Amino acid sequence: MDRDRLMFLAGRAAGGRRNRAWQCLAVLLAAGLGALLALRPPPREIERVVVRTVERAAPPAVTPAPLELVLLRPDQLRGHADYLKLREEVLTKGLDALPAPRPVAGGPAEPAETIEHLLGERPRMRPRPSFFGLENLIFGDKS
Amino acid sequence: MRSAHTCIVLIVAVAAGAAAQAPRKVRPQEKQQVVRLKASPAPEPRAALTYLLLPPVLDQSPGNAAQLYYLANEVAPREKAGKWSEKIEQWMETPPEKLPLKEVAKALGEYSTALRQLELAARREYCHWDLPVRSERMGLVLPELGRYRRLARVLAVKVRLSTAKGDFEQAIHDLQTGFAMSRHVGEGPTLIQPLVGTAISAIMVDRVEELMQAPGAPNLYWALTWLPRPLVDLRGPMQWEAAMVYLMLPPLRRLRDLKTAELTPAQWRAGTDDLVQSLHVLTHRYGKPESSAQTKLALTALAVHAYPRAKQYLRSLGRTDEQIAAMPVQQVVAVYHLETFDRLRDESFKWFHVPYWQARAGLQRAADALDRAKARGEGLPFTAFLPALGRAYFLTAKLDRHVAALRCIEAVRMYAAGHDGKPPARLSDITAVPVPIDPVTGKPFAYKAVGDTVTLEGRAPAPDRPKDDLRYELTLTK
Repeated sequence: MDRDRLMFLAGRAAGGRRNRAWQCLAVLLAAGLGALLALRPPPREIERVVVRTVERAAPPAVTPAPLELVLLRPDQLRGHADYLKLREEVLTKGLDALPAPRPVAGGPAEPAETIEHLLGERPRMRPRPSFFGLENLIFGDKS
Repeated sequence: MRSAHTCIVLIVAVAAGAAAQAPRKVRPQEKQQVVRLKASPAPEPRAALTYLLLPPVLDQSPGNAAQLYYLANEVAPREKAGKWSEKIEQWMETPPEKLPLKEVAKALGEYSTALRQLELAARREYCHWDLPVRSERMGLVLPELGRYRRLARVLAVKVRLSTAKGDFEQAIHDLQTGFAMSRHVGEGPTLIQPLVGTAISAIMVDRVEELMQAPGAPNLYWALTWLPRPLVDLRGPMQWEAAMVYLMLPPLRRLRDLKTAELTPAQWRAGTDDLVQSLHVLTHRYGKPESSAQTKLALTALAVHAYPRAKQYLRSLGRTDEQIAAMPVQQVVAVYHLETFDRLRDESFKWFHVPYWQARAGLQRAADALDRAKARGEGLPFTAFLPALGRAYFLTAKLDRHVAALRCIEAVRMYAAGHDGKPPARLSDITAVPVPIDPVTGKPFAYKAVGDTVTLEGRAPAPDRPKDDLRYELTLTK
């Protein structure tokens, strides 16, 4: 007696006796559910109106800003008026209406001041330019 | 108290009366001026840009020119009133070949330090006068502009001296200084500065005209062509001039907003008291104020007169009758006048950004509208601060026309150099270089050639001002 052969035959005999009814029922149920899912109509949108009462903060009292008057100083205003006057004269009479350059009582100006003048020192004699001492060779050393 | 608050309206009437009564000035009989030139044919230089009338970039140095101009003014001799200027004027009129060369050279020596500062300043990369216009507004102290005009005349004498000696290199070097100075002096926030700049440039262009006539003078066609156009630009200063009223009276900017911002009559009155005082200072110094009683009477009458029109204007802006009735009379009238002023001002100033020949008719229309508005008392007192600007623009266009005419003459000299000394029969015969149009009219110059003499003519924009005509008679010499 072959043990393995016996086990095989016993198993086959047991399988042949199985009731397939529940299997068929499961397959049918699955197919039905699948069809229901596929053919389901789209979900309907439901609008809900939610009324919420929010307490509004009281607006600040509107007071118009005061008229900011950053006015010019009287001297600035006088300067403005002088400019307007000068502009009008220049436009009507030409540039000769411009104020004449300040004259002085004397003649031509003093020559520009030297550094020595500004420092209160006596002007010094400037040394002659040295050509690497060649002038000493030619003219002799006078220092 | 109430009467004080009506001052803003009262001043309107004073200015309105002054504007309405101002008599039109009758110009004396003017004659057309003819400039007669004698010059020889001259070809284009071997390198076209050999000569330039502004310092070339290679000769410029970094930095601001303004302080050097201030220094030039500082070190220039302070002459006795009239003494030097007489000499300078005399030497400006003397033909170059008759100048007393030694005497002129000695006199110019007195100015050598000042002229050196000008020479350095003109070769700086930029010029910023750094005037405190934002804090001082138009009350700022301007540089001594008349002084620079005088220094320009001294420089012009130096150019004449070099021209007389035949030293064209030096003459052109000094012309570069003069033209650069004119542009630098012309940069600033006021209209007066470019007008002085224009005058300095005009002095220099006259010297170019003399140089062109000197025996052996080079052809300056490209040198003139390389000058900027416009030579002196009004656009920068015009921005400040347009803002003038708001610079003088800053609160007026808020007044415009009051169309939407509600103020109580009490706030309005409190706010305008000082404004009225400011207007008083301005009009008292600038205009001719009436006595206090007369002013109040006249201005009250004007307020009553202007109120219906002012209400109608505010209605057109969407205000309801109730809103208008709630506004103080002064506010209604003042907003109306200020808005009218803005409109009239912009009608004038907008034209400064198109060439003169395109702007001229529009400027004239704007000036006429301004006159009519002043006569009706509209926009006052603000329109009293608006000058007639057409003349200022013409002066700069006239300078550009002078340069354009000299370019034409140089083009004729260039043509003659290649055609046996003969001038072209028509300007259109010149094909080697472009022939400029007249910047005043936007049309070609009128040109005629008879033998060796040609005439070039540019018409004045106003027929009653023949002095503004330009007419050259050029005789070509061998």
